[in-house]
Amino acid sequence: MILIACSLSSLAALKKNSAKPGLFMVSLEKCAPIAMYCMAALSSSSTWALILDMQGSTISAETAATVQAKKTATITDFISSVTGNQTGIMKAIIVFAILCGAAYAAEDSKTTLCFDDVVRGCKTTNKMSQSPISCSSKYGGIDYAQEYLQKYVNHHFIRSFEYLLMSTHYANYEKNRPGFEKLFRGLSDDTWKDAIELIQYITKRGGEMNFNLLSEEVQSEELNGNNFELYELNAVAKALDIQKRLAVESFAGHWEVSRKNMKFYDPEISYHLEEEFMPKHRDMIRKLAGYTTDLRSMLDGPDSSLALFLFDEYLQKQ
Amino acid sequence: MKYIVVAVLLACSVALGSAVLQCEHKKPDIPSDWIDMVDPCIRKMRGQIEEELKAAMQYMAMGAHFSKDTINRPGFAKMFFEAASEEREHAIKLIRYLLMRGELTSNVSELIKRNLMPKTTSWTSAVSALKDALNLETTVTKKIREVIKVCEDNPTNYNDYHLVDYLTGDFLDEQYHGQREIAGRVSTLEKLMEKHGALGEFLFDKKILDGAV
Repeated sequence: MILIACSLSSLAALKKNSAKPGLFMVSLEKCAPIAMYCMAALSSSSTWALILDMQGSTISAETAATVQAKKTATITDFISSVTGNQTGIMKAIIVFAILCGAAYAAEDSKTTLCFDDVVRGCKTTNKMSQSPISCSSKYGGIDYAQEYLQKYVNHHFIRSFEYLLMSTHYANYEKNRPGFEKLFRGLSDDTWKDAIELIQYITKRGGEMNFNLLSEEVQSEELNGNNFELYELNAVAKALDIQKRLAVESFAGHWEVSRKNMKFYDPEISYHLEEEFMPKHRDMIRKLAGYTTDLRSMLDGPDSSLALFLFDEYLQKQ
Repeated sequence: MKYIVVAVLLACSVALGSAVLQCEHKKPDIPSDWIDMVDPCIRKMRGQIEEELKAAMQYMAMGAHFSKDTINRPGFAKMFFEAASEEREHAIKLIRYLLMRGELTSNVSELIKRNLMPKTTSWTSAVSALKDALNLETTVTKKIREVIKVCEDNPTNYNDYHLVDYLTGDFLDEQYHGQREIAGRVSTLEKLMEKHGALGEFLFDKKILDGAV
């Protein structure tokens, strides 16, 4: 019975964690206290039965059987709903085993030390085919923030291709604006590089990359359709909006790992977002906003074509 | 007096008229005889741009895989990230060629699909990833050959000499050299792995990092 309890709890632990060899060892060692709990359960259920018997004997003979029947009926009803057709004591064991297993499985795997897993791994004859999860570079809030970071990378890839399309449009013979082409190509190259660096950052923190995820705001853009063959002021305005969306999404990530979420506080991820993204975005947004101001004032007059030509020349030198 | 009022009204209307932002301008009237690429060829070239970018994303997935702490092959990761950027450069080269020929004046927004996702995202060993890379390059080479076929005479009966020459001399040349390099690496690594397993992969990875392989 104790073996069943131990096996149940170890199975629960195995289901939770992927690093099987190390944790099996852990669960066998940890089963010692669980076995003690199960033994306590066993003894308490037998005292339970004793109490029932004692109470039954003080009451008169006719009602003793009915009282005992009632009490055992309510208890057995509850236990049988959980365990099914088993003997009374077995039911108690199984209930406690499930509780022990659940309590153990709920335990956070990060509380195991890499050193302990390694020592255990060295002692056994089984080969450590996989690095135990405690020996990964995960710490702090990376598990919590990983999905956000993956979505942010995919957001960058999408914008990189969008800027490339805008750059292509300005490089055709009809538009022929090398300055605007250079501006959008620079934005495309920057977002591409940022995406690669962010992938390297996620893996540095012990996470992995998932190319399928996207934030809801970015996904919903597909419904409206997208046009990248725009006139000059419109194109700069669109680029400004895109940059603001990228900037604001970095703030969302900062929030995810701040103390406010009550689950994790990971200042390293916030620091990385602050250092690598926020100043860059801030400066580019200021630059693009300045360009829209200049274009607006210059296009308001008879010299708009000349203004665009001269502005394009100016952009070539930036 | 009347004339002054009329003059003032005229001035106001002129001022109001020029207050509208001239964001758009007339499309210039350019003769189009010099644009001599044919439709099937243009379509094939546009498709090839997306193929190059798909290859770039596949290399990106390889780079992401080998950057993981549980895999830990920085040399392979660096190689694959560089290959990803290289494929993107190929796509840009194709775009620049089409622009030079007077194309991409319309339907630019549909040139690149929105979410190009890689097919495979994990590999059991560095050798299997290198073999996948070699197969990827082979697929791209075959697709370039198909573009050449279409732009040469089938089914257009119009031989686009310059484009075919460019693709053959520039693109195919780079493809074949690249394939030979990857094939050599696969061979060396697989022979190392035969007897020395993890040590072989480890050493090879560090050699890639140093640029010695």
